Amino acid sequence: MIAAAPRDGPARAARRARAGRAFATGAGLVPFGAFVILFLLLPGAQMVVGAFIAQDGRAGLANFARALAPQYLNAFRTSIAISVETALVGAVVGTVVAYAIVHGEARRRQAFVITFCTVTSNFAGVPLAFAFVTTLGVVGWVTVFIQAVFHVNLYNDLGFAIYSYYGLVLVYAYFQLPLMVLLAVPAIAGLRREWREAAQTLGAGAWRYWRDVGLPVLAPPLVGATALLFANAFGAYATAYSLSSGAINLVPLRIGTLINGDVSFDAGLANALGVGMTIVIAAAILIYQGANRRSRRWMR
Amino acid sequence: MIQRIVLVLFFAYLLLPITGVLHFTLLDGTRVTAAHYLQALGDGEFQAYIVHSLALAVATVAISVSLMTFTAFWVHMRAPALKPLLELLSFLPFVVPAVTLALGLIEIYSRPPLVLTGTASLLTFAYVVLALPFTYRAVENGLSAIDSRTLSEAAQSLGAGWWRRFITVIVPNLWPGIVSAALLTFSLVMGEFTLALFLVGSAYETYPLYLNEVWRSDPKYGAALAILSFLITWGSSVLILGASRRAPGQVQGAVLK
Amino acid sequence: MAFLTLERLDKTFGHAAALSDVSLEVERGELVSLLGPSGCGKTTTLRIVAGFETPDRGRVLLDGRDVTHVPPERRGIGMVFQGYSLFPNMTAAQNIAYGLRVARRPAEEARRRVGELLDLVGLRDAAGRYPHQLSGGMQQRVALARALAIEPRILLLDEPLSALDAKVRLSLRTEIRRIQTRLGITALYVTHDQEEALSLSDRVVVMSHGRIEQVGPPEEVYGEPKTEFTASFIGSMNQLRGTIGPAGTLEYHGRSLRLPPRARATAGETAALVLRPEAITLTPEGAGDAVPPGANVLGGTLVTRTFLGPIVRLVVEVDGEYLSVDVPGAQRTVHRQGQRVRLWFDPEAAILMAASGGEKGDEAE
Repeated sequence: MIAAAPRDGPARAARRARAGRAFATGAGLVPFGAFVILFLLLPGAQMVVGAFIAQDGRAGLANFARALAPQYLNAFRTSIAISVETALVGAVVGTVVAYAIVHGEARRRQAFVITFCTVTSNFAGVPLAFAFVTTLGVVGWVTVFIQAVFHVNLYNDLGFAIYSYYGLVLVYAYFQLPLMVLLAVPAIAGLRREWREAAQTLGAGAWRYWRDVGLPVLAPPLVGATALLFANAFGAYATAYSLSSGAINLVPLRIGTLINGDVSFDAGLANALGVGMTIVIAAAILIYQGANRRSRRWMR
Repeated sequence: MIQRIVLVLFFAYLLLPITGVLHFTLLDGTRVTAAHYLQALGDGEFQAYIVHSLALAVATVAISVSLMTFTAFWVHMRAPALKPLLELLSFLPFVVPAVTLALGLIEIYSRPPLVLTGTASLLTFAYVVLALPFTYRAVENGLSAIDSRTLSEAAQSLGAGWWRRFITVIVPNLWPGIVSAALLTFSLVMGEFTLALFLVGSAYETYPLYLNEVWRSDPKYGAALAILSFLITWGSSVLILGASRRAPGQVQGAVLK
Repeated sequence: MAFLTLERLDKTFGHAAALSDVSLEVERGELVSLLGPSGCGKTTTLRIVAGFETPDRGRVLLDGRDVTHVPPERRGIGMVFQGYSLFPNMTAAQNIAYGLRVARRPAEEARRRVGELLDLVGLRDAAGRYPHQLSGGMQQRVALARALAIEPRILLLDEPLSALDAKVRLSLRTEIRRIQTRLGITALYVTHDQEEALSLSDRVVVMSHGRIEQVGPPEEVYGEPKTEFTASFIGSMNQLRGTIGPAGTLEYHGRSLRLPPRARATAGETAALVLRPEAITLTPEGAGDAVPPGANVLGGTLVTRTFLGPIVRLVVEVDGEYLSVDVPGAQRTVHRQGQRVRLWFDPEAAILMAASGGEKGDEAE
């Protein structure tokens, strides 16, 4: 039978049924689609488009030019610096802790530690900033304690300040660490016992095993996790805001000031900065995705 | 042995700031007191704002959980090819910083004809989006773990229609995952600061915003409120652990700040 | 002097005794299977030989050396695991070469050896593929090649085929045996699959609850089980339980059954005649087929007939008990359900077991 377009009959009805079914499937996706479009994609698009509209209403790169002013460049520099530092600190310490968890004790303790990390990685923003000020602020109890016992004043003698750059690093580390633990535990747990044992039967001691198998297999997920930590720190607002009250020059804080500032809302500039942020974070996420894809292939 | 030391140090580090705050709130000079906590009971603003936060949290949970349970199952059964897209869209809010989301939302929804800024509704919808990664992941883990396709087909062969299958077979089996999603969303909303600040501010003040205010004027009271906030998050997470223990899949949740 | 000697091994994990007084001698070039259900101690034994576990008591002697406390990397063993043991970040060829690399063999020699082994397991073309690109069967062949590359003194295999499909399992099984005999390498093979153990081994070690139940060539373990466990674990067994009568027969549902010649029994004690389904002959009642003099005869009703390919399994009800009879599948006799049949067997084909489960006979060992 030649496959000419059927004019009527069972084939047409089948096509109609298929189309009807596809339509119904689409209909079920409308609620989700609506939410995502209205409250995620549209704002995103608005930000991107708005970045290209200058204050006088004309399209162009004027906003980006303004975003390259020294104070904003410094903001990017500082944001990237703090994100890289806290990501690396979190990554190294987090991996060590994750290793201790995986190779440590019974199941129950593992589950407990996982919850604990989930909780603490949530404990950020104002309460966290507050907690650190009470602990390591000018009259925080640890500050006072160190003064009393070691006769060293953190602030006067060591130039430390909780609301300074390094204070912020310390505070960020508080939620970066548990996040790293949560990400590293599955990766480390995924190292099969058989690999270690097979390596042993082939004559390899611990060091050789880690060099030839362990670290190469762990590297992609850990690198990916570090990238995620970077993105996490880069976008943080509430913690930085409550701790430094805007004293430290970070990109999210800059955007915040533009939105809520006394001067009328400079949307274009804010958008340009937002686009800049998105690019940086997107780069980090791409690294994360790429690393995960590779490790997932191997670990089949 | 070393492992135990590492873990002990880790816990000590994490507990340190919290103990600092506890210490600060429970001691006036050398006198132990609960006064700063009890202050909350008589504080009308506290009560109003925590109710605001609770309302937002409940609304967000209701919408987000039902939306994602339905959507995840729908895609799982009817359009599995779309799953990667669903995963991507649900992952997106995880990496979009709250400030940039706030920025975009304000620009769109502060102009007539659609002025939603300053309303609790806008904040709720934004929270639903923010909660997507956690809700979706929790539900999806449950779906794969229970082999929902087989269950659904079994119910179908016994004569149950789509809706009935969903409500009587799928949802009950997904329940632990749903509970996890609900608790994650709840703790997320109760602690969220950035979007609340920019989208509604004082028009519908939430608990985290109040915390920020109080801290500056009355540190001890603010600290007590911070502990309360921590307890809420902790409490939800403990409950999550309990729920996910019964669930086939594992749930991870982390909020970006 | 045996090549591998296990001397009175004891091992406890927590409160559970995994091994109790396990002793075994393996000759050079032998393939010995450790066979038993989960938890019987076979894997623990293997891991002690490998060096991943240390026995609480006892010694392991390999090629004249006491290796009980020598770490695995210095024992000269090759091991094939149940699965997932290939290094995921290396190709098949790199995996195979790994042991040689660790031993710092010159690159040229390693390359040659890898080629030899790839040919040996028939995977020349897969040399450059990564484990996740290989099927289960191919992965295990690479694992085997990798273990053999360093010319180990002994090859240890821990249920290497359990995770594979039935067809792959069959072909790989014969290949493993072929390679083992060709290389003349001593091998210890752990499995819970009796067909595997019987078809592969020079000798089979049947284990249960941390103890060795019986050791012997496959025919012996199959045809002459010495304990009730071995009898019931390997193949199927019919058990005719009864009491020893005054005349030295087994009283079974009113019939007197002759005992096998070697059997020693005391009148009055309970015992069982244990025999294989294929040792029983079945004829329809009234067919007039001749029954050899001295044979034990029973009458019953045919309950089910199951065609299994090479054999037909018939289940016959005899005085409330069910006996299995196997006849060759090619034999096209028609059997009808409910048919009255006669069963007969040669007393020599049976084994007399005491109620406690041990064989009753001259202590032949």
